[in-house]
Amino acid sequence: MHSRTKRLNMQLLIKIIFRDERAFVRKRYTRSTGGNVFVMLVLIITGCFMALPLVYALVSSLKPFEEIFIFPPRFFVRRPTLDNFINLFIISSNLWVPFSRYIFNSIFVAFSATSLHVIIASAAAYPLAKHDIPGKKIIFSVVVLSLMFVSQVTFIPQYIIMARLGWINTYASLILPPIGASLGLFLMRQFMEGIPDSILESAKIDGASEYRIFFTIVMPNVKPAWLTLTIFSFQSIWNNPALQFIYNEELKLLPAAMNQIITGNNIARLGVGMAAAVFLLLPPLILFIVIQTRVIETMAYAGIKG
Amino acid sequence: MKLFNLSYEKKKGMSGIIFIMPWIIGFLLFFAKPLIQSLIFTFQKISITHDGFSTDFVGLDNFKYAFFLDPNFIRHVTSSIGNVFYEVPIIIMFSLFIAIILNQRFRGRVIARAVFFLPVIISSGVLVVLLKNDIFGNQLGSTANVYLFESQGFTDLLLKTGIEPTIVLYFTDIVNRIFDLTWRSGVQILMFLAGLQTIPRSYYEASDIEGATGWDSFWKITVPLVSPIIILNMVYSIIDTFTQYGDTGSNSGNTVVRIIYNTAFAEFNYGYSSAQAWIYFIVIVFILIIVYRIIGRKVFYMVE
Repeated sequence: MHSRTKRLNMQLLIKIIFRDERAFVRKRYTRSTGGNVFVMLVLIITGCFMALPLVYALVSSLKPFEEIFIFPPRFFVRRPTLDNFINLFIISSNLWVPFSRYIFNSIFVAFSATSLHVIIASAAAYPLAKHDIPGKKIIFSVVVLSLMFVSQVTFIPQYIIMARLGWINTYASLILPPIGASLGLFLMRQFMEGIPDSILESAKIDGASEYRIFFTIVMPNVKPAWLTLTIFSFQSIWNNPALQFIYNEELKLLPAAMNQIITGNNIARLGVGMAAAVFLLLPPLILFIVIQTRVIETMAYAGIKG
Repeated sequence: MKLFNLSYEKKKGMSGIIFIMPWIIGFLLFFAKPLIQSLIFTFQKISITHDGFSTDFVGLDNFKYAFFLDPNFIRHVTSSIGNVFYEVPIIIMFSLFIAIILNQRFRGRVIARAVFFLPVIISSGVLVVLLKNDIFGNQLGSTANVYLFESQGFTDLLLKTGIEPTIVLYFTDIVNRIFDLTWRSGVQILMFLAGLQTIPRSYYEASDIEGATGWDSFWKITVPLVSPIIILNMVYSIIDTFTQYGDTGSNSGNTVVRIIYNTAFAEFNYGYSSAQAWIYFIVIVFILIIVYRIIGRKVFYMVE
C-alpha cells in the first residue's frame, strides 16, 4: 500500500514537472469561481460555529484568575498565562491516587473496549449482511429496536446484573458491556451490504475460507467504516466517566478524576477546569486526525473494480 | 447424520453463526436482560428500603397514570414527534452537503474534517459539564445549555438596535435551531464521508468520459450509492433526536428523556419511569417503521 502511494506521488510529480494541466484540474472538481467561493464560505462559517467552543475553552484555559470573572465576560484573553495548566498539574499530583493511575485506567479501558467492540460488531455484521443464517431478519430488527431505547432506564437493571456477576469495581464492567452494543453492528452491516456478492463468491470458488474472506476481502473493503466506528467508539468510551459500576478510587477513569478536580472545591477552579477539558479533548482529537489521514488514502485503492 | 449432510448454503450459515455468536452473548447479557427487567418494572411500584428495594405489583397503574393523569408526559412526547419531522431532513441534507465538500481534495481537509467532528467529541466530554454548570450557571443565570453562543447576549444586542421584539425572537430562534442542528450532525457527516469513500473513483471517471455533468453524476452515482448510508443516517438521526438528553425550557435536546430520567433518579419513581420509557420506545418504533417503509424501498444496494 505504501509503495503504491509513493508511486502515485511520483506520477503526480512527473505530471507537475511536465506541466500536465490535468494533474491540477480534474474535471469533476472544476466549478465556477463563484461556486468555489460560496462553498468555501459555507465551510468556513459552519466550521467556525463548530470550533468556537473549543477555541473558547482554549482561550479560557489561558486566562489568569482575575480575567475569568470579568463582567461582562470577554471572549479573548488579555494577558495569557499557563497558570491553569500548572495548577492542574499541582492538584493532580496531590491526589490520593497517583494521577498516572487514572491515565493508565482510561487508556487501557478505552483501547481494549474499543477494539473488542469494533471486532465483535464487524464479525457479527458480516453474516447479517452477506449470509443466510436462520433468524437473520429477526436479529437485525432486534438490533435496530435496541438502538431506540432510552438507555438511562436500563441503568438500574444493569447495575443489578453487574452486582450478580460480581463485576462491580472491576475493569470487566467497563470493558465488556460494549460487546453487546448495537450501534456498531448496525453501522457495519449497512456498509457491508454494499459489497458485491460476486467478489465474495469468486473468493469462495478460489478456495478461501470464511475467515479469510472476512479478513482479506470484507474488512479491507469497509475500512472507512470500521475506522470511523473506531473513532466513535473510542471517543464515547474515553469521555464516559463510568461512575455506575466503579466505586474504587484506584479504578476510576480520567473523566471521573477530572470531574472531581473541577467540581471538588469551588468556582475558582474554573480556569483549571478548562485546562483539564482541553487536556481531555486531545486524545480523541489526535486519534481522529491520525485515522482520517489514513482513511483518505486507502479507499482509492481498496475500491471494488466495477 | 443430518449434521454432516449440509448443503453449501447451510454450511455458510453455520459459519455465520460462529461470527455472530460473541455479539449475541454480549447483547443478551448487557442489553436484553436489563431491558426485560425494566419491562417487568413497568408493572411494579418500586420502593427503596434499607436493604435494597422492594417491589409491589400494581398492574397497569403506571400506564394509566402516564396517559390520563400526568399533565406533562404525553404533551412532551407529541411535541418531540413534531420536532423530529423537520429536524431530521435538515440534518441529513446538511451533513450530506458538508460530507461531499469534505470529500474533495483541498489543502487542510483533515483539519476541516476534524473541525466538523469537534461537536461529537465536545458534546460528550467534560467540557460540556463545565460550560453548562460553571459558565452559564454563574454568569448568565438559567441557561443550562450546551449551545454556547445561542445565549442571551445576541438577542439583547438585536433588541437594543430597535427591531421589533417578535421578529428578533423569531430570528434568533431560527439561528439557534440551525446552530443546534449543525452541531448535531457530526456523526452523520462522518458516516457520509465513509460512505462516499467506498464509491470507486472509476465510476465518476467513466461518467465523465461519457459526458455527464457534475450534477448528473451526483444524482446518478453519488445518491444511489450512498442511499444505504442515507437510510442509516436517517435512522440514526431519528433515534438521536428522540433519545438525546435535553433540557426542559430550551429547544435543544429532547425533553422527554429528561422527564424519564428525573422520574427515576430525582423522584425515585422507578416503576413509572420504566413505563414512560416503554411508551416512548413504542412511539419511536412506530415512527421508524413508517419512515423505513417509505424510504427503505428506494435504497439501492450494489448487488448484481
